[in-house]
Amino acid sequence: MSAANLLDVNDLKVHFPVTRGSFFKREKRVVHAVDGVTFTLKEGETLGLVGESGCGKSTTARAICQLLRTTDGQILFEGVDLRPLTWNQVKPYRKNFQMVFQNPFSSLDPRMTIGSILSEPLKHLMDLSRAERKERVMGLLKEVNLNAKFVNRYPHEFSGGQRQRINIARALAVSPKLIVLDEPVSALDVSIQAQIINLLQDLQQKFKMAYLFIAHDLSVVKTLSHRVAVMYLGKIVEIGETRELYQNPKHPYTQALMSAVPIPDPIKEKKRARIPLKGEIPSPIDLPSGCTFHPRCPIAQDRCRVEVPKLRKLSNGSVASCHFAE
Amino acid sequence: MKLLEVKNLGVEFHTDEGIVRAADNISFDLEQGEVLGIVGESGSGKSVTCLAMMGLLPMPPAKITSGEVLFNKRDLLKLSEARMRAIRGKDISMIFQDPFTSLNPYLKISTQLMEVLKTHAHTMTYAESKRRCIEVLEQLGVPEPEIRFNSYPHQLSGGLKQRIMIAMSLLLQPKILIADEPTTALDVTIQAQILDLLKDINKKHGTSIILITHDLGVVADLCHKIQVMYGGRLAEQGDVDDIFYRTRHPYTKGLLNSIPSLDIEPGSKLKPIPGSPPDLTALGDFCAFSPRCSKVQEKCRTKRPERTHETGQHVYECFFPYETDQLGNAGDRRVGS
Repeated sequence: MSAANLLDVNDLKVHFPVTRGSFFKREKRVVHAVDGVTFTLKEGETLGLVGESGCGKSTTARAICQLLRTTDGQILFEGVDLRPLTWNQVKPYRKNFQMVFQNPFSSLDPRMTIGSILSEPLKHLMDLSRAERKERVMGLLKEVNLNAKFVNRYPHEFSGGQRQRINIARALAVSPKLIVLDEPVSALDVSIQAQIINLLQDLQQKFKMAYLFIAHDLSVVKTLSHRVAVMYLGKIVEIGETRELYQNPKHPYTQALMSAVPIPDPIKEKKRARIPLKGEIPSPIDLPSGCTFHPRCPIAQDRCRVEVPKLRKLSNGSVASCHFAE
Repeated sequence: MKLLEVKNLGVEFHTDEGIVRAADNISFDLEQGEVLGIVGESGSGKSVTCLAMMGLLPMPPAKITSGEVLFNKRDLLKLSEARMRAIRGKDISMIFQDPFTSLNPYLKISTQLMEVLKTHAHTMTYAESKRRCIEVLEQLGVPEPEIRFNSYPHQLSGGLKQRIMIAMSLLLQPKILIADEPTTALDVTIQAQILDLLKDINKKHGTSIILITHDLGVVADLCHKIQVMYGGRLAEQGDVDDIFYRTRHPYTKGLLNSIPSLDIEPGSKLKPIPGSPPDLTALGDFCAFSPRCSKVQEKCRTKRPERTHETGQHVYECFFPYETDQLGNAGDRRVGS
């Protein structure tokens, strides 16, 4: 662990027990939602986390924000492991990391005014007088380009894009060093999506906080991220510097994922070479043996069925877990 | 030959907040074997247009105020419900957006598939129907079709459910398939599989497809023609190259500018369309896009632009369209690249 890292996640595991079968013949099984995730995040940096639904990106996000119990591993925030701490012990650290959730319609309390929504984190995590809080709330609305007169309105009076601005303002309230953004634009229309992406860029330039940006849209992630990690079945399969990872994907899953994105340009789209993937993402309960990607991998060989590939550094600086990546 | 012709279709909803003009003077046609993409943001009227065509809108609150939908020289809007039922599912069938809610969770896949044949193909025996269902599932690449045929929807993944929905709509080899955001709820790799499937159906059986989507990437490859809608109105219509390379309407241009694509430089800025989509109850007799338009002038705020027909099929509603020679290629759409 180097001192410059804001966040060090080491071999993080989140397993959920599930029971199956009848009342008398209970069968205990385990969902391997996150199964050994390791990455670092520097101050002011954006790490994009991509993958298909069910690959564990959101669970990773919640684990980092201490919103669920983890099974194993370390989550070091500025060198302090938050994982063994109790709810109350974590509280003083909470103002350092905040989260923005995916659905702008369900993540704001419909009975609270925008003013009270934005002052709630200030009340709990900062020591401010009432007047200071009010001033801060007004400042926040301005930061996210919302009219200050909205302060006494309720969430239902706003559009999806405006609500997402409120969500971002709430995360911003306590001046965190890290904001975890879980699919912040995927519920929005394209024209609004671009507004929010630009806002996130502007805010990062101004306040220098780090982002952990989670999305399934690879183009959106590319726009915002300095580095990108690709997840598959609870594991990171490839992580690297954005430009390199997009130009020169090494892991077969990353390659397939990149090639599946339709290009909004008919000439380029007709020329797009696709790497089709067979079937669908397997169940995280019965993980495939060896490399978990082997049942869908176009280049899988016998070795992949038995031997689990380790993450290793490749010639282009990316790190990938594939026996055949170079 | 024109298979389907929609002329000046108008749909209104009567709500407590006022009258919502969900589709206003919409016209398009579809030829045999053609794929039409209808693009727009939420509330632009793309689904309403198709539901109205199919006679699936609840009336009231909906009301069809004008227009006709000609299929085989018959106006679908004037048909009785019984006649319409004979066409729906057989000649024109529809796939809905959400594969998770559009299958009945209480019924086996077999029951839901066989129901289509029971309704429309009375002469088929049980064994024949079953064979046909399994044959279609096989064609669509459903693994172990006989097992899936006897499962319940919750036992299947999203991609498989969408395949079942497509299978259901293809059982009777319809002439037109309407797909309402068929891949929005799915992951990219599964989306790619489903889009390939639609392309295949179009090529092999010559089925005409209407693809409703908000994703311009999805229409770029699959569609022959595109219709861009905004605020229940037509913004621009034309073949794929018209829309992407000879863009006239500022909204289409704005839409193309605001989507990030895979060749964007990391850290570069997008060009969003300012403001938010219009309130359909407050739309007056002026250009619906004028509050957000970069080329807006006084005229746009007071008068509604008429439809301009260009050579070929290119149609748009704008007073001050982009000139063709001002247009750059795809490269200068974004800042910083």
